[in-house]
Amino acid sequence: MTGFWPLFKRELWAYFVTPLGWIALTIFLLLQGWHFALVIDHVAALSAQSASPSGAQAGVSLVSGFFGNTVFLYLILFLLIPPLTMRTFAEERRQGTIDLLLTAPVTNTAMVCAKYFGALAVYVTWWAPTLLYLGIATQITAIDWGVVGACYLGVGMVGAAYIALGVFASALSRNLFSALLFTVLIVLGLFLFGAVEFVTAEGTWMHASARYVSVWSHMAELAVGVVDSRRVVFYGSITMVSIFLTTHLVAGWRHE
Amino acid sequence: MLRIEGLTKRYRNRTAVDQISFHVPRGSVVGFLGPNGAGKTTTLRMIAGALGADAGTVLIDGVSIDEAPLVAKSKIGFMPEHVPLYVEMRVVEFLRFRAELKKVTAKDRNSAVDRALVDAQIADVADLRIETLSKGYRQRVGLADALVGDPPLLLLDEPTASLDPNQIREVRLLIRKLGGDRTVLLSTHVLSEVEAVCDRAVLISRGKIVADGPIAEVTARHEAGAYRLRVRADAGCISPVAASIETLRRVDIASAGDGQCTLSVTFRPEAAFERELERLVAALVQVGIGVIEVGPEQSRLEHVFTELTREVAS
Repeated sequence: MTGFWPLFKRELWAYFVTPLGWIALTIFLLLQGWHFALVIDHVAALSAQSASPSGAQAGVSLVSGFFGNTVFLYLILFLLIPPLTMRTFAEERRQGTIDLLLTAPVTNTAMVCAKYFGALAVYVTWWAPTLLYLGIATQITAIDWGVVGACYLGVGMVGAAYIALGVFASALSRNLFSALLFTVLIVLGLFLFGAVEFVTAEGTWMHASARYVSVWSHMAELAVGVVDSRRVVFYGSITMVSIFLTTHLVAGWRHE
Repeated sequence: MLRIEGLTKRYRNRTAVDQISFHVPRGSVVGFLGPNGAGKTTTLRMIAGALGADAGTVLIDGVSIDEAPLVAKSKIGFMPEHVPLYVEMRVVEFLRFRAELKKVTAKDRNSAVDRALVDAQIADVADLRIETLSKGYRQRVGLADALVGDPPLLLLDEPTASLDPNQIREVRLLIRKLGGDRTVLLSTHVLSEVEAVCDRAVLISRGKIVADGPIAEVTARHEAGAYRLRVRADAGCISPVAASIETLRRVDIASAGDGQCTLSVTFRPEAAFERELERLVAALVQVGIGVIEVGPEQSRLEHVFTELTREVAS
């Protein structure tokens, strides 16, 4: 991993020195803030209808509404992950700065990991302020922090896998637009294939396959505190395979 | 310091670099010359590790770029022709980043960057963003990047392109100075630059090495058999005479005004030059052309360059 640390620091620096990084963070927090307000309204309405809602039930509804069974999470993934990852390699190749890295004493693995973890660190900084929302929610209802932990694990796993796919797509492209488009297609393709579980009969192989990749179902499970090791394997595999393939692509550039 | 053996690079059915071999001794400044498209940049990128070779080896201080790339790359300072830079960074930030990437220790980093800033004469713009700099300054940021960390081998691809005459002179002086304790491979098509700063020249044309050695030796080798004549005649009268001398390899006729022409001629290497020159003069006189002046071609590297690259092309 020779050369990882300076490259990782530069990646982080590059995200936050441009307006794009701050615009993305602002859009993310605005959408999540609005989403959280909607969830609070919804839980409050449910509580008003229910004769004797327990604080714990309301808390679970709030967390599961914020992380699972909501289109907001996926909207954010489609909207923000492709722009986050598109520049990782495509921009370097377009501007020729990739030569700075290829001629430096840096391993290909370090180069790919620095790009990947740089984007992942930015993704984590997007989500970090949302902990405050839940902190605020504790003032009005009880929160099960175990469920919250499962939800953040899910958000982290899905983000980690999609970012790895985005970095791979960027390494395949020579311009930002095709990197963006390619990432959107992969992420959307996975989402749509997962959605097939809702239109196929239970017990069929198609239903089982779709359920295995369905990010909607995975987040719905995690949002009620169920951590299934198959999900960890699934997202872990996507992440590892994408990083592995990206490293091979980078090694291949020396022979183009 | 740098040894290249049988280096080859092919792009589909075109061979960009064709089994080239040469050696750059430690502490020397070697000019790597060739016309556009000759394979200079491809060769430099292969030496620097940005491009893999299809065949051959590159040894930097005895270390193979393929077998131990990290060790070999840490010995190289590479300045590509189109200097790639992170333009959103300040000059000093960029150089600190590059120094860290080249494993300059935190303790030595600031002094290494300061030295590179001074050597490349960009200390006055150290705190400016690279995107605000002129092309000439960006070129020198690229030079500072190659210098930072004191790598023993410098690969400079057209380092004076985009510089003004004063800057060119200063960069040439710097390269000359660097040659004392570092090894420099200077790729350029500016022949005066090679003559001004290099000890040796390696000429490449169409992917092949066509000359390699000390500049004086390379020029002397190719000056043999080259003569310049001043004659009183129209250019049209001279061509048939020149055509009758079968040992002539090259004839360039240029009008010098006042009914005079200058002939630059080169005889084939196997010819007895002086006897053939006598034949040529006699043939000219025989058809009534007055020969005013005859002497050896005052050939310099430019002449050799033209000769050799034309030979390969033909």
